[in-house]
Amino acid sequence: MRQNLIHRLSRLSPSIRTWLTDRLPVETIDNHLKNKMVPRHRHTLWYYLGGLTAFFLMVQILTGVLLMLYYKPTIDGAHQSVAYIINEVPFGWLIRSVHSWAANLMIAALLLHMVSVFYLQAYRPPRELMWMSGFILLFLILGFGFTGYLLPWDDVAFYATQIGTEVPKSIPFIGPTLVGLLRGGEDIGEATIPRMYTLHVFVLPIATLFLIGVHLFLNQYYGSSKPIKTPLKGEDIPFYPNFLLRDFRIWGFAFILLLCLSILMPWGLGEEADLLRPAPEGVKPEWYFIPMYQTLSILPSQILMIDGETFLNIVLMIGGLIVFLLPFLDRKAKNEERNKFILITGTIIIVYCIGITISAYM
Amino acid sequence: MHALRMFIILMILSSFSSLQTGSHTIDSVPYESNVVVISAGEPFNNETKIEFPSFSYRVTLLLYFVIPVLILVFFIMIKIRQLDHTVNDDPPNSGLSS
Ligand code: HEM
Repeated sequence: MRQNLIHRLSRLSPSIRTWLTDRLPVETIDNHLKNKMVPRHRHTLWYYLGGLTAFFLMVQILTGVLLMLYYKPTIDGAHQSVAYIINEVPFGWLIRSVHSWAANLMIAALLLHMVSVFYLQAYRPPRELMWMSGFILLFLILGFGFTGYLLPWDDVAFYATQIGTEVPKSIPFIGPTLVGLLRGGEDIGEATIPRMYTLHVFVLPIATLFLIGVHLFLNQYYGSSKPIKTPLKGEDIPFYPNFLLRDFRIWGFAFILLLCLSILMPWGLGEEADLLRPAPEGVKPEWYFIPMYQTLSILPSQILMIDGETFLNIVLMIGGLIVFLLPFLDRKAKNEERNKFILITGTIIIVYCIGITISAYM
Repeated sequence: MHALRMFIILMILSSFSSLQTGSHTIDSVPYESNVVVISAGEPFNNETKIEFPSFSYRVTLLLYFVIPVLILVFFIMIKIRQLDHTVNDDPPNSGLSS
């Protein structure tokens, strides 16, 4: 009963089918699509999160392109153009609201996806490259959040970016140059908006789409992993079309959630940023940067003879490298054994991040 | 699944045309107090006023989007059931494709 691509094309029109199969390796594509199977077990639910992240990313691209039609990346135009989008452009408020809410939902889905593949230890061979491409994607997506936050050029965005671009300053050797490059000078100002904008709409999208291509190709190639020592429930199901339809069902519900948030709680806009006004109290970066930001604020100014910020940067870089190389460090998972040490360490880090985020909002 | 295909095509076409022209259904929704003014970004809400459509307008808009999506999801779920039956009915290791 499961129809293949050729079958479907032939139902469309025999001449279109002949035209396509004459020119393209339709059969090879078809076999490749059928290749991927999804195992069924009590953790199958987690396989939806990668697709959900991809769904939100598609929403971002679509709404982002529409916002680009009216947004002006200049110090005088940024805030005004966003206000114009909200007040004047037909459905502009909706498109902007969807873009802002979907950004947050995407990062939430992405973090859950990463946590779930960590617990399922899906990074073990042969999927090391999937973990590594995913890890770089995480930074690219956080980069979208960071660069996009400044673009409306309102007060909160301005001060949060001020604090955010301060952090890499203490990276040994390259820190100050990096901050200078990001800000386009000593401070955030006229030169910063075009930089953030270029990163946000050009550099990051190209890099992200390329890496997602790699990530998804690998997923198609290997199929989904079977978690260690978990009994399977019946036969694997084909990804195309059985699991893809399940993905679509989840996307439908996610779309409804997104619309409820965007329409019932439309994303606002603060007062225009003023370079001369002193920073107001209580400005916080976006929630996904809180663990780093909050840790920084509780660290003593000097640790082991080095400056607290530099210390945190070094710890984060070493930690990041360990997580990036995790598939090679986890020798037990390679032999299909659960690695308690790694799972417990990961859990402690996750609990810490959640705890410190909650404490920041209390 | 011809019905499903037709439904999807019609829905896409109708949403495009309504977004283009500002659909009748949406435009004819009566405004409550014309607009509600929400200034976000507390605590700096002094000057900039941005305006969102009234709450009742937004609820109608939400329904306008949500109902078709729910119907679509319903069709997808029927299709999933159909496909799953064929998977389960197949003897083990039979090529699932016809
Ligand atoms: C834009 C970001 C990302 C997108 C769109 C994405 C998308 C996907 C999709 C669609 C799948 C297959 C379905 C699934 O298993 O969920 C997948 C699997 C996977 N992803 Fe991602 N992903 C992203 C980021 C990440 C990150 C940050 C990591 C980890 C560092 C990661 C690691 C993996 C791994 C190891 C698998 C294989 C899971 C398995 O086979 O069981 N991905 N991803």
